[in-house]
Amino acid sequence: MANRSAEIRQSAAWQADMLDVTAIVLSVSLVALVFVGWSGPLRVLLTVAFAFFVPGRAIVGNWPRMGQWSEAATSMVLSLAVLVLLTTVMLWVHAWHPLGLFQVVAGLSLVGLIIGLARRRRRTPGA
Amino acid sequence: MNVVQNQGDRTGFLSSGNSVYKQWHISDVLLPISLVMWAVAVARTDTKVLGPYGLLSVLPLVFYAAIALLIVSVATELTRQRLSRWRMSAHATALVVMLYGTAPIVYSQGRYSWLYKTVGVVQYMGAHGRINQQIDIYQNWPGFFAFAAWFDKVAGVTSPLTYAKWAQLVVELAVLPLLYLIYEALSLPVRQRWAALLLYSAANWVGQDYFSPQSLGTILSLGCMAIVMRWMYAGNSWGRYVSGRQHAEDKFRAYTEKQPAEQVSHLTLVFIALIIVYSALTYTHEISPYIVVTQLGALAIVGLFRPRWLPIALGAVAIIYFIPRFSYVNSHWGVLAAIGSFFSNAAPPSLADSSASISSSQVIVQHCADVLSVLIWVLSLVGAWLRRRSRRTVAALVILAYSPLIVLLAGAYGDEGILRVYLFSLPWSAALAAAVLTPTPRLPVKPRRGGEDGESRRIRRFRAEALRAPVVLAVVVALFLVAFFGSDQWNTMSDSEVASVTSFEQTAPGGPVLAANGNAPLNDTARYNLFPVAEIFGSGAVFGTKKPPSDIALELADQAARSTSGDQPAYVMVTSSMIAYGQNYGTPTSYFTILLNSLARSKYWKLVTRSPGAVIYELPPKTFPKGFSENGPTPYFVVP
Repeated sequence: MANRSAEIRQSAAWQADMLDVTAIVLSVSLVALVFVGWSGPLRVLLTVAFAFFVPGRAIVGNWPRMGQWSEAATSMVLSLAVLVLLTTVMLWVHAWHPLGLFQVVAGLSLVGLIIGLARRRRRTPGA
Repeated sequence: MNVVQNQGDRTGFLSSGNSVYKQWHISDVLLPISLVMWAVAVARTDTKVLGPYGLLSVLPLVFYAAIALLIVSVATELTRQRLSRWRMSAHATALVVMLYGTAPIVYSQGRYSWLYKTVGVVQYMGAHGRINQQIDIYQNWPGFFAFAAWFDKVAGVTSPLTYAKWAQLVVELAVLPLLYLIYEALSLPVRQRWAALLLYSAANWVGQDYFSPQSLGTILSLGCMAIVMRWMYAGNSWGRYVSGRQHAEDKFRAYTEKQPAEQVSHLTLVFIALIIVYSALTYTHEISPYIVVTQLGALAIVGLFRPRWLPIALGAVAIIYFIPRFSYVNSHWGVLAAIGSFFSNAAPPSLADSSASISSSQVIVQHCADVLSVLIWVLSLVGAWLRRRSRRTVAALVILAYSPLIVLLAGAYGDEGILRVYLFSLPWSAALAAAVLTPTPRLPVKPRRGGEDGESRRIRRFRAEALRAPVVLAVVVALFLVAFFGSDQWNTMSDSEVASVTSFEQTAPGGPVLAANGNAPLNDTARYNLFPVAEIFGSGAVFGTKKPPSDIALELADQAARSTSGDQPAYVMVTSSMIAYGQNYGTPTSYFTILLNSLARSKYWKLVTRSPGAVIYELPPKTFPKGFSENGPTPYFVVP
């Protein structure tokens, strides 16, 4: 019983770690493409993935109970909601800097993802 | 814990050495074959000339065979004793790809004329970096447009036209995990959850998932409902749903370690998350927040939702946002006048303009859409009866499915109210209807005296029940294909048309546009507010439904000059999609011919653009036709 439950916890932790790593890779890749100024379908796809996943994942990765229920779907909803909120506020306050916002969101998301990874490692010994 | 009996749960529970894990299913062959057939079909589809039934006229038979094979594959999986989660996920994804991924592959441009208006608003916000609430209603609910404008900058594209046609596929894929979470939170049987997902995808014909505020609103609405159903739904015996995996983890944690103390309670964070998502919904779409509040309020009234004050709080958020915009909305849309007129508000768009002479093919398309909607609702009622013993769950689903109708008491939403009601009802109606598709659990069957033994009767009953899923799905998908693709003859825009209209609006001096009708890729640039539109043909248009005179160009010049007072140019635009729309909705091709010939002969109208997709004429400033008078009819130009 204890072995099976340990397997479950490690499996869940592994899955969460993979999602965090994916989000980190997405962020870094997109930041690099934006910095270089490279355009194309890849950049569009990476932006879709970023917008639909990364900021929300940074939140869910630090919210264990939410993550236990849903790793991906709530990440998507929270990502979209946060980005809609921030971009709309930018328009309302006449401070329209979309690339600046992206850099801030990407940076904060990276920090959140790394912190979430580290906290999960502490909670799940041996994972 | 015997995880093998935990149907539909993560196959990760099964060790790789487990014989069940390694077992092949017939769907492992059928599904890839259906996808290959579909890919071959779309590669062979030529959309240069669409018939009266749109894309259906040109899709090869292999496309329909691919759909049929997918349905058979789905049926084989649904009837298995133990469902495979990843296989069902693959089937649901495949169905969405086939139904919603076909159009963006075979068409070079996005469907629906109203898509292009959305693009224009995004372009405006991206170019100006601000909102102008006096232009149109879209600028008053800027959430989606702000997000899309930000997306364009980050993605490095100059216009959403680059990717907008893929929005339907992306949105329909995005809602699948949200729907599954909701159904899981409602404790639906696993088989019913997957059947509901398939039904939802196959029955969502209303086409509100295109690049638009409603598509984002749908995702955010389902996100709100998922959070609510998981943490605030009071219909389960435990007060909240606990999955088998979660139950195991909770038990393990209780025995082995203590949870660290949380400074902020989990439910507080859930409330904050819900407020963020709902707030985003409030300034993204006009009607969606009210439908969500209505559904939650209805649940709260019957005690299936806690806390009961939350729908009131959420409603207050939406109303507080609406109040400053009320005068604009009421002056343009007559909100107060529509309150209480339930039956007129509930009338579908097909009935809204009964004066138009509609082609027989489009009548059939509309009827298929109506039949599909009614079928889903009827199946939902049947499903509610079949599952009536699950009282709380069925009650919740019925309330969620039909409470959106209440919103129609407040307004018609531009004759589209009933379509939005169907859209918001569909997740719950599909969940109820799924009970009709899925075989009932195997119950012991007593042998009859002198007749078949129990085992034979059980096998026969199971075989009969196993036919429900493929038969119902086939009917639903067939109706969907007609409703979804049947109007593509006029819903699609050619490259030439889009390029001509876009180029014109990017470079021409601003001025009112007299469009043959509204079905065109109009207003898709950041300068869209400079080109208000009035329609020439159709109910309520400049010339209505009557045959135009041979000197129509002179009359149009007269009215245009009166409208501009000669201070700015005016334009006449005729496009190929306008002609296609007119052919199906009461404007004969001869009317367009009369108009174009008159414009060509006119000494007042100057040709600006002529391409295979569009013809545009300009009435230069200070141009007043002979016999011009300041007294006379003036078209009512509006920014669409």
